[in-house]
Amino acid sequence: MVIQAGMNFIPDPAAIKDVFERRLLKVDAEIKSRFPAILGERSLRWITFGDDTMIGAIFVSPADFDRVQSYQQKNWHPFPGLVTTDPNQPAAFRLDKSRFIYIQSCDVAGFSFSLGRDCTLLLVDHTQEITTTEAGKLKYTLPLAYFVTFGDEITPSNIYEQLDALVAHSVEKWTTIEPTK
Amino acid sequence: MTMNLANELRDLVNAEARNERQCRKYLEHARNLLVDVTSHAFLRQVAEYRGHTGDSDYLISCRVTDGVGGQKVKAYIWEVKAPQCYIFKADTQNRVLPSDDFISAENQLLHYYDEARGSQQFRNEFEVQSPDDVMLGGIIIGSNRTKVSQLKRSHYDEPKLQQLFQHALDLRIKHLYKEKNIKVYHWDRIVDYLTSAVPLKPGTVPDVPIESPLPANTQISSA
Repeated sequence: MVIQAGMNFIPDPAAIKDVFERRLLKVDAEIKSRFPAILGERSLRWITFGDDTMIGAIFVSPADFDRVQSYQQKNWHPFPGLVTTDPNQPAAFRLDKSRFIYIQSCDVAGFSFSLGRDCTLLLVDHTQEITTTEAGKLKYTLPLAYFVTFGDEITPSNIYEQLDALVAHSVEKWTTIEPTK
Repeated sequence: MTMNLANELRDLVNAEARNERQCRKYLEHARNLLVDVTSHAFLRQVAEYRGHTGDSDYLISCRVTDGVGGQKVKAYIWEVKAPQCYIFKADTQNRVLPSDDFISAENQLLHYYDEARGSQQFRNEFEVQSPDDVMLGGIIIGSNRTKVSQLKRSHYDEPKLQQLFQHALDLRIKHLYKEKNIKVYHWDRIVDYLTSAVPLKPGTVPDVPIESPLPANTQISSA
């Protein structure tokens, strides 16, 4: 899915890091204690990727980092079966023009997410099982991941602002106490 | 954040009569969106703060860590127009221009920001130490259905309207707003933000081996 011919978008890891530092990392310890535990890790790492269809940023647990690195050394996708922008790829969830989608503690066997245009998606504690031609059957868990897809409204001019709003939304959810019914 | 709040605000956004003041009340539930850092204490959220050049529509202040072990207070200024206001209006077949309401909001925002930065009284009231901690927040105006006011002589179809709207907004972001970190949201985006997680059920997917090519431009970053 090419949004704008010749866009050749390459995500800027520094711009993504700036969002994470302002919103998730350089924050008060009491507030951070309400965030997913991964954000309290000493050696915190995340993987960014993207092209003319989307950007993604996936936090990786120390235990899973070795797997990710070994997959990369073999030229395998570090998170197979997780997300695609190919509308023909059957997936457990198909999203289109959907903002601030928050999915927590979901286990999916098979391809997880097919993302259409203008989507922002947040995953917390997502477990993925998949069989790939490269690595056979495998299973991995993502503690935290953010995805933003380009479209009519999300463009290279505003994509980091959209990521920033998605991260703000996640903070809002983790820090707001829902009224009791 | 609850579904009720989002539904209430959606009804206001879809109403015909202008209802800026009613909508503004829902901003207290989107406070992280209105600041650019994560705060451990929101201090004040004030509507219609009286200034010499006029009333600021919405102010929010919060305490944040300053990166060197201390804390400071930052105050953000927002200009808010009703969801019924148009954001742009037709100009030519290939260009739209900011609506009078949008220009007014931008002008008010700049005036109130400049006044607040220079006002010791403002900084005392909001416990802000330095003028540099008075921040431009942005503008909230219009909705999905009021992106562009059409003219008979230059009636755009929906894809064209969306394209011209987004291009005009992107230009303002790129050349005017980005450097000063001014945000522009329409009210449907606030509704989306307030919408709690909708329960989603996964569909079934075939259990066949997939080929999984490498994602583009992969980078590892660390804190």
